[in-house]
Amino acid sequence: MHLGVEEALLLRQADHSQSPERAELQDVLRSALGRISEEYRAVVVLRLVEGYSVSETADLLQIPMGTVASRLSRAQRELQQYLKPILNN
Amino acid sequence: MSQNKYTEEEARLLAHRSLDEPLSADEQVLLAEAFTSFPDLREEVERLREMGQLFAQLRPEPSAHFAQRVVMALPGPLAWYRPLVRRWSAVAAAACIALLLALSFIYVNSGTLDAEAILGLEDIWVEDVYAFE
Repeated sequence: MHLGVEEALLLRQADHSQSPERAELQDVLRSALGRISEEYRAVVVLRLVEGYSVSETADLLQIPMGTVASRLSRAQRELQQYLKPILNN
Repeated sequence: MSQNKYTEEEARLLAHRSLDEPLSADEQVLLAEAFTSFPDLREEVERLREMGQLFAQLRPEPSAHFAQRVVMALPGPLAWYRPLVRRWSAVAAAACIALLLALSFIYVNSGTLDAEAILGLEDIWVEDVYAFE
């Protein structure tokens, strides 16, 4: 299955919370999260899942803001490999 | 390369901040320059925006309440209330406004904020006990 972000968002907006497609997308994301290191995962969860800002994430993890940015940068590069099936391109 | 005002790390931080909040006019100029100096950065920001939408919409926590547990496990003396503050700040603000409105209503009608006025007991007399007998 090759769903893009738009399709994924439409699935969400349609509130198909129990749909197999949504569950499959969540599995892909969950699996991708499980394959990156813990320190990257913490940044990804706080920034991308929970929506904390760079400064809030730095405050929460007690690391410099530059480190938050660099960890997220490396994490997204790794995640990109695992999320190719559902990301555009 | 030596003409860059920003190091790549500083440029990345600015780019990531642009995902969180509107940048000032000066910062927007610097970000545009940074995108020129570091072309991969623009793609990185777009990718992060795309991933952010996906993660935020599907919320693929590895297990139930994973994110809350991550936040709870964070160092810091007040870490336990951060998720509550984040999730319930709007509710708390609404409750404060409702409380202020209620107190204002009582003050306007009673001219005081005594406990009796708040509890609605100020106009009740012993004789009222027998009123319905």
